[in-house]
This record gives sequence, C-alpha cells and structure tokens, in this order.
Amino acid sequence: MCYRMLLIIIAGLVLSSSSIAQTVVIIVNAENPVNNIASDELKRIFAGDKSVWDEGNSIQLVDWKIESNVRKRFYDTILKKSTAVVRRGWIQKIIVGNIYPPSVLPTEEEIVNYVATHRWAIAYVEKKGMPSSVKTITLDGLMSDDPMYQLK
Amino acid sequence: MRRVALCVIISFVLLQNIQSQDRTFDISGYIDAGLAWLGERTVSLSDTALTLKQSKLTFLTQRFNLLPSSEFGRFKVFANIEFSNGFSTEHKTGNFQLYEAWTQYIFSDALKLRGGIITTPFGVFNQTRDASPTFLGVLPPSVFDEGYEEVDFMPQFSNLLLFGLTSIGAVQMEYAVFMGNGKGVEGETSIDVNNEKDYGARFGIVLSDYMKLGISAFRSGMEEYENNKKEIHSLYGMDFLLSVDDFEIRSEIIPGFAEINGERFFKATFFVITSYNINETVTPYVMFDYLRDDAQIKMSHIQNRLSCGVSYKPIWRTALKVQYIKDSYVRPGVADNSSCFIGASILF
Repeated sequence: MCYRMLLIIIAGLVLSSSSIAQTVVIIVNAENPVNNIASDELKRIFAGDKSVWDEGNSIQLVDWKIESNVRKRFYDTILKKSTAVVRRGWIQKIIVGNIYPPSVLPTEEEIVNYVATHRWAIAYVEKKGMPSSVKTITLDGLMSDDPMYQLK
Repeated sequence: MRRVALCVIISFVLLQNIQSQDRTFDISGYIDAGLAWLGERTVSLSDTALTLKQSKLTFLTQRFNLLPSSEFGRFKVFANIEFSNGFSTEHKTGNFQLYEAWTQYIFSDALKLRGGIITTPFGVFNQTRDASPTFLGVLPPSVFDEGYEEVDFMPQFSNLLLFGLTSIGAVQMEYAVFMGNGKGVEGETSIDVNNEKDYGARFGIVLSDYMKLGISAFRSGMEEYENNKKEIHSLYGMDFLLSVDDFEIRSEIIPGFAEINGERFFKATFFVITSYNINETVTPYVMFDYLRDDAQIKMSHIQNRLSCGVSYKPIWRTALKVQYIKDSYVRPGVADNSSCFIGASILF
C-alpha cells in the first residue's frame, strides 16, 4: 500500500514538472541602458521590423532553435504568428539587406553567454539563475513575478 | 565590371578578417534551380506574332546570388551580386552583375539614408523582385519576369533613398522617398545623359497583426536628344496584405500612364496571391495576375496568368516548389499556353 502511494506521488511529480513551463524572461547585456521593453517593441524586434536600439546601435538578435518549446511559447504569446509566417518575413528582409539573420543557438547556456559577450544583444530565456553579465529587463513595466506578466 | 565585382568581394573578405564586436560581417545568399515543361507558345514582338517551336522540356537558367554585408557603428554596406550561367547550359557563357550595392547611414529606425544602386521600394514585391526564396512559386507574378524590365512597368533601381518606420502603439508606419538616374540614353561614358530624373515614394501602415496596407507613386522621364523623343511614365501602386493565422492574401494593384511624344497610353498590372500554411513545411497557393499595356511597346496587349502550386520547406532555408501556369492573351493571333515548373531555392 505504502509502495503504491509512493509510486503515485512520484508519477504525479514527474508529470507535473514536465507540464509546468518556466517563466520566460527577457535579457540584455549588463551594459545596455535598456531596463524595460514594451511587448509591441519586442514583437517588432523579433519580427525583424526594428533593428536599431533608440541610441542608434544595431540590435544583435539571438534566438532558440525552431524545435524549441520556449521559442514556440514566445512566438505564440508575443508575435502572435506562426513561425512559418514569421520566417517568410525574415527571408524577405535578409534578401533586401534590412537585417542580419538572428544567431540561432541550441542551449540556454550558449544564449546567455552570447548576450553576456555582445553589448547590444537581446534574447529570451527561462527564468533561472543569471550571471551578472546579463540583465533581466521588465516587460511592459512588469517584473516576471507579477501576476499580469505575459510570459509566465 | 568583373573587376568592380571582384573588388567588392575582396573588400568584404578583408572586412571579415578585421571584424570585432563593433564591426559585424555576414555573407548570405541564395541559389535556385528549375525544370520547366512548356506548351507550344506564340511570341509577340512589337506588332507581329509568331509561333515559337521549342523544346517542351528545359532546365532553367541557373542563378547564384551572393549577399555580403557589413556593419560598423551607424554605417552598413550591402551588395547583391548575381551570377548566372547565361542562356547556355552547354558552354561557359556565364555572366554576373552588381544587382544591388549600397551604403547606409542609420540615424534611427525612423530615419535611414541609403545611397548606391538600390532596389526601388515601390510596392512590396518589387523590393525583392525575382529573389526566388521570397516567393512561393518558381516564377513570380509576370510583371517581375525579367523581360518586362524594358517596358517600364516597374521602377527598377534608384540611387538615393530616405526611409524608416515608426509606431504609435500597435500601429506601425513606414515610409520611403527615393530618387534615381532612371533610364539614360546609352552613351560612351558612364555619365547619365538623361536630363530627367526618376523619383517616387511609398507609405505603408501595419494596422494590426493581420493587416498591412501601402501606397506608392513613381515618375520616370526620359529625353532622348538625338531622336527628339520624350517619354514620361507614371505609376501608382496599392499593396495589401491580410494574414490570419496560417491563411494569407497578398495583392498589389498598379495602374499607370505612359506619355510618349505627347500621346498618352494606359497601362496596369494587378496580382493576388492566396496561400495557406497547412503546417510548418507545406504551403499550397493560387495566384492570378493581370497585365495590360496599351502602348504595346513589346509585350502582348493584355495578359492574364493563373497559376497554382505547392511550396514545401523541409528546412526553413530550403524550398522545393511545383507550379502550374496558364497564360491567356487578349490579342489577335496570340494563343493561350500553359506550362509546369518544378524548382528549388536555397537560402544560405
């Protein structure tokens, strides 16, 4: 009886941990003066429509691999478009020279390292311990632990 | 010309070697290949029409475009160099051309200044024209076929461009103002001998996540001193994009006028493309386009093209395409024809 209960608890824990997604946070380099970003602006950055920070420096974009669940959640919530549509827009902008293709990195560690070493980079990652070389910024003025935060 | 292109390539390679965090360098590009089955067709040249006997099955001209770009501070340089195998797949009759080459200064997203050889931002499709990875089919709408470059249906290149985008809440607005040499009379020097200049503008607005609208205007003049010939072409474009989830309708309507030695002719082109992303990789589409040229400078008086096909993207930079095309002409002696294409375009 005790053994069965233990099994049920373990199975429940495994299932719940796989279904609960981590909060996604927006990170920039620690030297970037930006502390907050509006979701409309973030959408324009990842759609390739905004390529320059307000100070005039080019945005260095880094993204997750296409198969990533984090990427799918981010695109569904912020861009509100399928990746097929967004990618077609990207191809057009690359060919006319308006933007560079984003750097696509396979792991969160590499993405965080990229942002830490590129002053004008921006990325989104799951909320975990961040090194001091990157800065978590608020989204629409909200911290990630705010109940109204979009990327929970 | 070859020396110029070689210098451009070498400059970009050198830039790559000295890049730092403040100087980025990238080389993208695309390559395409295709095979066509062509039905028997009538070719019209000026006011005559002849039936062209040709092979039904043909490989399409191979193209390879290199897109080097570099950014340092607020400056950016970009080039699009197109290599092609000419019209022969048997002999080495290839060629290359500097399709685009410009320097840009970025004041902000709302204000960018570009100078050089620039693809004209008239409408949306004209900005990528025959860049095969950007369209769903093997062939673009017929007005972007290379043969129409000579009949002034679309602005080709400009030399100075001021553009940018800004937003108010969720509404995004973009603008472009451009100017160029236009069609110069062929001379022995590289200096433009056309007294007229080309100029135009575009204004676009993204109303929501689903809808984008744009209007464009363009005027091109040409004065040929030797033959006392004067031409003025004016074009007015409207572009429209509706994108709801995986369904998309894209359309452009471009009426215009040609004034040739004081006589005025109407011309117009229109196309609509509807597509649906069944999933991340498969996109079927239907396209209709219409082209009318009352001046009958070169092509048929009226041409309708209906085409349909499927684009398959096994990975996002690669597209395999199938397209069926039916062309109809409203012109005595010119018969309808149909053709099938299969092709691949790869962005790297």
